[in-house]
Amino acid sequence: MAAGFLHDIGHGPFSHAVDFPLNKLTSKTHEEISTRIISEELKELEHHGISIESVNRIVSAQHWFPFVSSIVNGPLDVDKLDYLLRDSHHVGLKYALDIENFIEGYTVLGDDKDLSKSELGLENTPEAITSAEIFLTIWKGMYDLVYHVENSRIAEKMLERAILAGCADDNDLRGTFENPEKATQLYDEKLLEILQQIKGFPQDTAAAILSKRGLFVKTYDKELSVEQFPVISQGFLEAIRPTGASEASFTLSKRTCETLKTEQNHIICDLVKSRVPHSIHVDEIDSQGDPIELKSKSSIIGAIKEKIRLKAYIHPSLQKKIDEATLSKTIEGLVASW
Amino acid sequence: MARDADLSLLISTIYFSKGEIKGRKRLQKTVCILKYAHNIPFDFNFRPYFYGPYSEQLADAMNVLEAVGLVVEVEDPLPSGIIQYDYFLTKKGDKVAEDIVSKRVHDKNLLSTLKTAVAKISSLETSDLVVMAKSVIQ
Repeated sequence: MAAGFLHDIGHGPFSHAVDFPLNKLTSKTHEEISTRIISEELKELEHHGISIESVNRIVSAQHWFPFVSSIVNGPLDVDKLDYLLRDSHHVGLKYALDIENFIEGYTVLGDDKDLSKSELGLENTPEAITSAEIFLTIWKGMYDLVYHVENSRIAEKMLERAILAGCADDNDLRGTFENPEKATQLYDEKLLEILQQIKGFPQDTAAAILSKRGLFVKTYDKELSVEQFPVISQGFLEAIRPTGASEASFTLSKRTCETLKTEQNHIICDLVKSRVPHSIHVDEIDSQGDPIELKSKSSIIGAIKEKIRLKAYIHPSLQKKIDEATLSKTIEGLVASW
Repeated sequence: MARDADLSLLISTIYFSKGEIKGRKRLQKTVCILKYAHNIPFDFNFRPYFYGPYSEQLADAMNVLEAVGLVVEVEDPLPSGIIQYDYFLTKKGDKVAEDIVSKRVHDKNLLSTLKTAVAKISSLETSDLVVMAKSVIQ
């Protein structure tokens, strides 16, 4: 329970939207920052019979019993059960999932006598499998319809760049972001207030986010695939490996601005990956004694495939100076020669 | 190969497996054995689950290769009614693999080790791979 409440304590303002600059400036993930805060500032927990080591192991997905970590961080985690329905309600989407009924379908897979190799899975019942299909469809839908929706995504990417630009220009902001404890104490409004005081891109971005005017304009959008791109170099392929999309987007943005001789940060490239669930097993054993993947039992889950889109957003002042063809040629040239 | 060469190594692994790996389980165990028993420098972290090692990062990397169109995942319905997912290099994937194998002169030793190891692993039944993968990660 403590791990559930505390696992996101290491987020900065605007939560995941600030993960990339925070990670770039502190070299720490938000989970690492969470465990540090728990260890250093919440020692009081031990006085209430709560083991800090145990909480930290759950938060960092290193619990002695893996199924325990999966309850907080995994494809079926309760965090998703919490935020998906709450967020959908607040944006007016009427998704429904009987959470209690879904959790009834959870089970621990593995050997009861050796929980160190256990995993969180699903009962092999039509109810559990259908509930998982509904849950994962809502999860994917929320990314497609809400979290990755265009203007929200553009504002997030502008904010990322504004923080990095602000840290380059302003010692106080850099000092805050290089110190995880200070960074996590910032709240959304305070960060925007600070950015408003740093002239140039940070100030303009804060104003655009607050007024919802002057956001960048999407000028390029293509599926990143060998069918659509003339050449995807091996270097670029490695750069977009699962954990590298944000860094690759950042570097590509920088190189695009340099090539087209625009002001820094006036073109933002963005690799957007659609969500696919990680492996979930059901409590049914195949001929080799292994549990079967949910994907092998559900054609709905099997049909969810990852797609990657490469998008570029440009500063409104560039709309008349840079057309789509020029931007497309530049970006595709950089992807080919990476 | 340089660090962060996971996707190139993965494409090469499928290429040396005659362009296909049958089943997600076989893929997972193959890469695990290559990493821990043959010192192929994959960065993927594996967890020692009861049913054998599994790497979410490897699954994510396969999703990337499939998304960009270098690998295709094909449903293979087994007599038991369960669907097995097989991986094949696409034509473009095959071409990329050939480029990696022929042009990376400085990685020749590594690629030669990989080729030999994959040949050994390919001759084993999946059930034997599971046993071997469990033993190398413990």
